Amino acid sequence: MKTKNSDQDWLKDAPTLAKISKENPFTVPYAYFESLNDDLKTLATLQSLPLKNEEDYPFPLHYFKHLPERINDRSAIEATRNLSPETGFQVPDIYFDSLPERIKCRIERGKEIPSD
Amino acid sequence: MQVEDFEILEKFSRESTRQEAFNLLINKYQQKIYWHIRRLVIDHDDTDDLVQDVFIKVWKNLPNFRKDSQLFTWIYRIATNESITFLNKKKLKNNISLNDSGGRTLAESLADSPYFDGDKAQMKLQKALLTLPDKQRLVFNMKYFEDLKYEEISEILGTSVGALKASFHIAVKKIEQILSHSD
Repeated sequence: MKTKNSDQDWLKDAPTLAKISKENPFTVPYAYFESLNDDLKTLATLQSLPLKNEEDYPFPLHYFKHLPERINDRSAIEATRNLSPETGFQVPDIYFDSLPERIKCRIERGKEIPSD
Repeated sequence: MQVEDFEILEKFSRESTRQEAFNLLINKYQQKIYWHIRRLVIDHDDTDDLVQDVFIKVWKNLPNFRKDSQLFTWIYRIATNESITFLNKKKLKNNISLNDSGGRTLAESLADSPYFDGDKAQMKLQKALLTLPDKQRLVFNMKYFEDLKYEEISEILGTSVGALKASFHIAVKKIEQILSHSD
């Protein structure tokens, strides 16, 4: 007597599928399993090595508490450094051309910087 | 001669033979686990990564393994969970990618694979399988290709035998419909 839900019941419902070879169509690179065997054993050996404790890598007190704040500050400073003259403060025309001369005057003569 | 699981566990419980036990476990299960994962994720390189992840998890968790399940179903469960997690991440990555660099779909991996040696009918079958939901494909693979018993699949997946039978039969009908309507 045929049992209900037999493992082979599907055969009558799927004649096209039943004709297809069940042989494994996938392959692996040459000598893959030999190298996998070695790789896995090596990984297991590495995993079995004792890990260093956190105490072996000391860091300042509250380091992680203040880290986000310090990262934000650093980002703000970097952003300021990257401002181009067009987007930030501006100086008069040829300001930097005359600056060395004016500094020199200030140092050597102790006089007021001549106006341009 | 293949070593029994209880011998592996017994050796693993002793520090002096732990590495030997793990080597025996690798020798016994690496190919079964490889093919179980490969049929799900299709790509060889992805499979290779996952196989290594699975055995590392086995190594780390074997000391806590409770013998209320069989060793082989426990390892299969880890492999299955890793594969499903991988597939979910892959889908998410492909969905949010705005360009072609998001990774290939399983169908593309199958079509491009240098490590597929099947005939046209086998390729059609694999393509048809990729139209199934991952969990249904998983049940189909375990029953059809890996020839596991429903009771074993039930222990691995934590699903009732009745639900597995229903899932397998639905998968077979879908596959048959696709195959019989294709050229």
